Amino acid sequence: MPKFTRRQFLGASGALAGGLALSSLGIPLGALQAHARDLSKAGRIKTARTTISTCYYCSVSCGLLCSTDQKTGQIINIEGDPDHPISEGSLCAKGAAMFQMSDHNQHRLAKVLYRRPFGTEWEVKDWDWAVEKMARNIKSVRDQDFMYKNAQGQVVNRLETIGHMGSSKVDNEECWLITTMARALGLVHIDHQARV
Amino acid sequence: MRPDPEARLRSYLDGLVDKTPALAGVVAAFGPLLIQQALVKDGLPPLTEPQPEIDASRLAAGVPLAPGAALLDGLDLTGYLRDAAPAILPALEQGLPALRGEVAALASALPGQAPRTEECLLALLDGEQAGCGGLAEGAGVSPEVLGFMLLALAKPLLEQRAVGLAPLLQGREWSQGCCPICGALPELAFLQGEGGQRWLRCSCCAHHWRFARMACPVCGNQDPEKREFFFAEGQERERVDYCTACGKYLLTLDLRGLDQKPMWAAAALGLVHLDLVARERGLVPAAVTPWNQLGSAE
Repeated sequence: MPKFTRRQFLGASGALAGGLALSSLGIPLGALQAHARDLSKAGRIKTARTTISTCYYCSVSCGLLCSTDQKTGQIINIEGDPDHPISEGSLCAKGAAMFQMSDHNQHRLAKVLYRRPFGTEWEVKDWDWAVEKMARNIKSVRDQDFMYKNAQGQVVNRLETIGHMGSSKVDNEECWLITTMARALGLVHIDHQARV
Repeated sequence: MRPDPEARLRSYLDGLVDKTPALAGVVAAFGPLLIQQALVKDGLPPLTEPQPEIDASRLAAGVPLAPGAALLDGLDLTGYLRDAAPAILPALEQGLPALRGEVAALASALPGQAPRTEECLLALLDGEQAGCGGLAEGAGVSPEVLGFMLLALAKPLLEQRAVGLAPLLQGREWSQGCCPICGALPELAFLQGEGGQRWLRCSCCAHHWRFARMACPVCGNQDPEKREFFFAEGQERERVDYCTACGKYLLTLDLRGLDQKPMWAAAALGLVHLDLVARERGLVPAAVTPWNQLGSAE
């Protein structure tokens, strides 16, 4: 094995072109420089930073690389982290679609839409109205149908006329919170979109 | 029928210019050289012998297999230079007419100066450009131009030797940003596979090795706050990753989802416009290539 220093092997690549400037080789660079200038001036050059993150959907916690535009602060890409020791860059369908949950997705609903019973049109409502409406409807049904005891006289404290359907787009902690809320109301029909 | 490598490389170079017409000048300058280097490499026999001794502990400590000039240990350098020069030197002259006089001087010096030429080449590979002073003076060529021409001549041999040595590294861990075979830094990175693994291409021997996505191959910086990248909108597959800790950049191609891989020899040449943008930002390339020295006083 030859003698070897870090300086030597790092220097080897530096020697490959002999430090020659293209201009000294007689290569015209005008068109290239104009092209590069146009890219920069037209604002077509985007600068971003990538951060390491973790998928929030389930307890596997697959690794993510999340890239953010330095100028706008918007997320421009989310992908699996190939160097993550567990997931090695793989993501399930939900994780792979996580970018769609960012501001980048212009199809995301950003306002509350309400359709009246037997109505055919959607109405835009604000959150205060929606939260109060849901709370009133839930309380009204619960007050009317809450079952303290079953036909055998056993204490059951349940509500069978409201069901809760979870979403595959809520994360681990939100799932826990939703289930806790549903059980606190006495619901027994609790299911998840991912199962059905 | 699959086109021959020369035709594929020509077609790839034409494609680069079709896509980015501003590249016409550099493609015309280096295209003939790249084609001849590819042909010379194709004509070389497998260079698996002599096999360097594998020292697992040194490899694990980040010492490459055959650093610098050691890559050419035991090879018939004299015979190679004699055979390769008639193919490669005319291609240099064709693409770079400004070097006509220097190419002629080297061509006439080679037969009588074989030992000094080899000595100079080995010194260059060890990062010692000063070792070429005597030969350059004798041939009436600047040391920089001589180094450029000699390394252009040696490139096919270096690459073919790396092909011969690569199997020795199979199954061995290597997490460094420099090449596990010759120790040079990368000229290009590429992302491939569903998981988006990052691979680096050596600027000296063209070996490919896997490297971490979130680390700088030059200084090892892993702080995400000090690593950024840029790209031209609409061309997200071509980007420049750079490290604000050391100021070095690396061109990157995202090959995921593509049916065809690039012609590796010319892949970095197709991104010179991004080299220019990087230079305008005050960044320095991770490794020097024949075409990324863009300033007038490099």
